[in-house]
Amino acid sequence: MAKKKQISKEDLKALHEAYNPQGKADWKIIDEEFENVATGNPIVLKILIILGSQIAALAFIGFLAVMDLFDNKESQFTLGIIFLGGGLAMSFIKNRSDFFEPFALTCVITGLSVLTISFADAMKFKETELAGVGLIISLTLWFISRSALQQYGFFGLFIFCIAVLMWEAKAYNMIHVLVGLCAAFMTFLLVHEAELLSSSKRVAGRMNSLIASCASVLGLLLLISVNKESFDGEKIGNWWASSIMLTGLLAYSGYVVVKKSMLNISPYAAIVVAIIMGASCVLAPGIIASVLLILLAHYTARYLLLTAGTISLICFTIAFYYNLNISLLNKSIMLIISGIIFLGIFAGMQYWSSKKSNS
Amino acid sequence: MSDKNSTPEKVSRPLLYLLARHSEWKNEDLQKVFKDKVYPTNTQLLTLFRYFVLAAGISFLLCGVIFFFAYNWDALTSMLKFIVCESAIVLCIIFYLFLNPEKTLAKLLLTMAMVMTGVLFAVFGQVYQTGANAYDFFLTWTLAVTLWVLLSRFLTLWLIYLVIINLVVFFYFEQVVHLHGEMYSLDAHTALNFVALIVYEAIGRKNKLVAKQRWMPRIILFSAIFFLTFAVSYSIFDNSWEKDNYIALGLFFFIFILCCWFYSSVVKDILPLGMIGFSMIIMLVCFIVEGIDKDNVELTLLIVSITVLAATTGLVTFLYRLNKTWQGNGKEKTNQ
Repeated sequence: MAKKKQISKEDLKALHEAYNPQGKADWKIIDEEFENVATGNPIVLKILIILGSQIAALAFIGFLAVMDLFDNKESQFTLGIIFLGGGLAMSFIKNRSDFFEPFALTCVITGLSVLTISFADAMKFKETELAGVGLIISLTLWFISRSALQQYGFFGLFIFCIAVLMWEAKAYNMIHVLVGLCAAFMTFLLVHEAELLSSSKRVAGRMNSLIASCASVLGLLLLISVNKESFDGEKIGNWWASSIMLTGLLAYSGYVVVKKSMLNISPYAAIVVAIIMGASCVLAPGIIASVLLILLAHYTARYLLLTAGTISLICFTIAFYYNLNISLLNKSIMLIISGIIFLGIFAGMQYWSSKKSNS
Repeated sequence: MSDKNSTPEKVSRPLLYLLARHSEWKNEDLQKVFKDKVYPTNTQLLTLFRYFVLAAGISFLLCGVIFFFAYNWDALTSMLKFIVCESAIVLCIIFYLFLNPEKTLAKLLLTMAMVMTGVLFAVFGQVYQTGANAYDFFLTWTLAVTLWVLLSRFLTLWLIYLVIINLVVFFYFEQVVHLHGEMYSLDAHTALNFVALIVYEAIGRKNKLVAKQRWMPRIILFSAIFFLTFAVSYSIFDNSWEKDNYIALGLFFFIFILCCWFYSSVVKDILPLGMIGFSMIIMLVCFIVEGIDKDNVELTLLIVSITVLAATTGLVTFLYRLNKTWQGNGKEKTNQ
């Protein structure tokens, strides 16, 4: 089995010296944090923490409800504050091990849920007001928290609150704007990773959680809303709007990737390919979003995102099959055209590379 | 000053983030590091794009063809439907025979032929109204393509084949045996996927290229554990304790012991151990819910909450330390 050599502190110093000889570095802190970062935290552990914490929090909230602790507003509020505060405080522990992470996340989920119920009860809040307050609170907590997993959840909650506000205002078409914004923010973060890291040190600590939040919410939004009915039985239409925005981002990403990688092909070719791709899948924005995710994940070597993109491409293709707004014949024509376009691009790439190797 | 060539070939993203957080960098320098040490090289990028475009092209084309035949267009005569399907299979095979079988294009053509064979059987059922059930359809399809799958050395094709065999097993219990207990079906799925996993890992011991592809055994193990968790949880809540429940329990011990040994000693891989651990947590929760007094809901919920939290923390800490030990030994990175 192929195994990669692990990087040592000296390797990192050599790298810094080779690429950034004039730049000052705080080696004391880097040395302190090195071992934790170098060992890495396999993604499976993060997924386990999220799943385990959610089940534990759900059972604990159930326990509190059965014990009639929600009948007393003061105890509800106090419990909520204690749990949320405890969870946030744990995120501040320096060089915390994964031992604290499930505890912290369970506390935060429990605290936030209890506080939400308490607020809704005490202030007689409706969904819109609750989402409005949630918007401010989630953003504040995102700023405060030092744990990447908590930041991921808080930012996801922030976007979810925006979606609830749109939903409650019956502005269903605004969902396209939200889809576009999520995709644009994710694209911006992925394409300009190095620029952002060099311009702000704070971004480095939050970059991965922001990208993961945007990608998750984007996928979830499209999965629950494309050609689905709202709670009022009204269909969300005009999906071409989302498709156009996503195609624009795909074209931009393609352009930047080709330009930055200096691939010896015109970056405008990427724009043309993206537009053809978008046009053939105009009624299936999920497919375009998945292709965008795959392209960016390939370019930035983020293999978890690549897996997510591939799985979402399969899911959205299956969902497209069950879309009752278009006949199977039209769907098949759209897919066959897309397939032929992709195969044409492949043939073009083969021709181009053979021509290059001959010359 | 260090030379760029003497620096490590690749650096993990978290380490670069650590460096970026605690040192001053110019935009261009950091971009250069990312390009050289994190992002794929131009050749890798082009190869990846080429494969993606090819795979997407063939997948979309195949989906389009499947959707087209599912539409059952009246304007298309039966003969024309057969001609389209059969000529697609024949063309794929002819091109496959002319190409180097190790090339991705050839492998994808074989996959296309395999899927088109299924479409052909579906069209056959549509035209002649054979009355065959889904079990017959999938069984015939499986038998017809077995030789291609055995001859090909393409993981995607193996995975599709495994999915079809799973469907055969599912419809066998659903439409042929008419067993009232779903347990046998769950047991059969678990055993089937586990056997597939053993076969794959055994091939992987001989073939380094197969062993390198970790996504395939992870998917197979995930499906085996998924069915096994269902089976054991079902057994816990089903108080009858008949033969099928004991089969599930036997499979549970056999699979878990074997997998824990294999993935911690032979192939050092955290992901399967995480899957097994989480499955055990789910079973533990089912056991608690079933075991505790039904009238005492609050106690059940509290114990479930504490148990899940403690078990998750224990599992995560154990896996974290195990991973650290593996990396510490010989300073080599393991599969993550």
